[in-house]
Amino acid sequence: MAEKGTGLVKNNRIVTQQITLVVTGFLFVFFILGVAVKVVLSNQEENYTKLDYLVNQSNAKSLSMTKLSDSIRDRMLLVFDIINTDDAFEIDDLNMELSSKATDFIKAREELISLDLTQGQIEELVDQRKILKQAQIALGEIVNNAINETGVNGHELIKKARTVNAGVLERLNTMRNVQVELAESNLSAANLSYNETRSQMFMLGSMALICSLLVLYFVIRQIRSQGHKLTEVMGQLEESNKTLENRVEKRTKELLHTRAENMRMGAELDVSREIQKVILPTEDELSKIDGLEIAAFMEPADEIGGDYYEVLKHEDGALIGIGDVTGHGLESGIVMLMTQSIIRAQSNLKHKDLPDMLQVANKTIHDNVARMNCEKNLSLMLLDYQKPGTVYDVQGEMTISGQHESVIVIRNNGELEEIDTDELGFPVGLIENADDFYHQQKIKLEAGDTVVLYTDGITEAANADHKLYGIERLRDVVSENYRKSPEEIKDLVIDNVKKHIGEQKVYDDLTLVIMKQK
Amino acid sequence: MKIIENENYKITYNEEDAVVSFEGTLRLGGMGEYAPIVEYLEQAINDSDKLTLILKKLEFLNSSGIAMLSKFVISARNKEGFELSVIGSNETPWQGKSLNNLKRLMPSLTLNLE
Repeated sequence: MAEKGTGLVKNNRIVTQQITLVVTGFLFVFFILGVAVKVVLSNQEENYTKLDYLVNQSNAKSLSMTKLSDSIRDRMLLVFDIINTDDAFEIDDLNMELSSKATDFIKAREELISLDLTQGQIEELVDQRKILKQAQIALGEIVNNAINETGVNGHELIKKARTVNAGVLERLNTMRNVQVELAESNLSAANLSYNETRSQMFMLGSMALICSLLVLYFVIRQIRSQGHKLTEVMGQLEESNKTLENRVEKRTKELLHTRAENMRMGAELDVSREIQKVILPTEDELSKIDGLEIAAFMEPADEIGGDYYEVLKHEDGALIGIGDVTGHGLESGIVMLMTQSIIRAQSNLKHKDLPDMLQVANKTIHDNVARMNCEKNLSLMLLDYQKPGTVYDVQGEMTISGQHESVIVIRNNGELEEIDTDELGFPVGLIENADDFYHQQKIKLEAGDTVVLYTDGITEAANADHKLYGIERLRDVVSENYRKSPEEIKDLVIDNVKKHIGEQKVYDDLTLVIMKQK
Repeated sequence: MKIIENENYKITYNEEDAVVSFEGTLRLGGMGEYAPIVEYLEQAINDSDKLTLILKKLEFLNSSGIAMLSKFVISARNKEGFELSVIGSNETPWQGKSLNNLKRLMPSLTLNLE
């Protein structure tokens, strides 16, 4: 869940980042476009102002120049009129008009000078002034002659003045031409500036377009990768949901199963423990065996192991059995119960042969476990006790058959004998026919001789360090206490085993049978 | 080389040398679960006229396993001239008695308890 939470926070952060990116991108594009518009507008305004000024200047110059030319021409015409008239009054009038034209000229010239002139134009005007002075003098002479009616050299002077004036007019023309050229160059400059502005605008526009495209590209890419991630996350989420569902379902099933299993196991344990205890020989039975003093101990493990022991009184003594079914649990308990029945049934036969009994037990158990499909088998040892006066006069006799743990015999002088039973039998129920493997061995029991039977629950009882109790400890305890009663020996051994196990769980049934020849 | 294994045990069948090695602990439930191992062993009997079982490192074998081994030894005994060797360990509690019982089932079996 924590992972998914982080994923969502991360996703929100990505969305915020994207919005910021888009907004920033478009703000940037607008900014560029704004700058472009501003630059273009200010450029255009500047151009227009410049062009306006230039046009105004040009017009004013043209006007002044025209005025200059006109006043010169008018003056020439007036001089002609003065020469060609004899009327003194008319000459005065014309002379006055000539003066006013001179004033016009001076005014026009001043106007021209006040305009924004190029260096060439200024020089031109300075030059004109010298020439005009000459023309002025010539014209002045003509006018004076006319007034004084001398008429001397009038035509010559006019010719001279005309030449000078023609020069001035030509200069003025040149100036006008220069002005036209200037205007043209200004126009082309304005055009150039317009083109420049246009290219600037184009460039800024392109930049804005590229920026827009870049912003779009990044946003699309981000959205796409986010889409992939989202699909992935959704997939994972779905997967983990499915897994979770499966897990919950599985766990529920497991829990239900475990609960059912626990109940079943609990019930099974109760039943099998009951089976094991209910079928054990009673204290009363044990005390009634002639010739033998018997003490027995049996404690099933938490999960019972299928230990078996039996003491069946018969008229000559007793049939004793001890065994250990493989494995644990109800099935082991059932096999143990079957074994008890098979042995008890055969104990009622008149003729008792231990190997024969074991062969029957083997075949019966084998066939039954095959039916149960559980492959249980057991170590099983039978001992037939003949009390004194049956085989021997004063001694008892013990016939031993079947494969089990060794039999410990402590003679009444404390001497310890150990009888290995491996060659006396075979695991019961393991193979169908084990007839050849069952043999028997007989021992004579003097008064005070002790026989110890046990299951591997005793010798393999483990402590916290996994150290087994072992056959040596068992031997030691029984050897040290051989003079004591079977009951006392049994208690001492069990105490010693329990001390060894300590707080450890008891994994296997503990079975111990101590018999002493009276 | 054929291998059957899980986290608890490993069984290796070396066909060339006719050796089957067992390691770990075998607690399979019933003969049914031992069937693949039985198949191995049966195949070993058919492939060759001799076989060595190395059980030294098999720390535990449950009763079904012992039953399986016993039945295998009986079928090996029934094949004339078949040489079966078993290498075990005296250190492992279950082996002493059980492996001796195998030898009793098939007296020609060579048993080495190391």
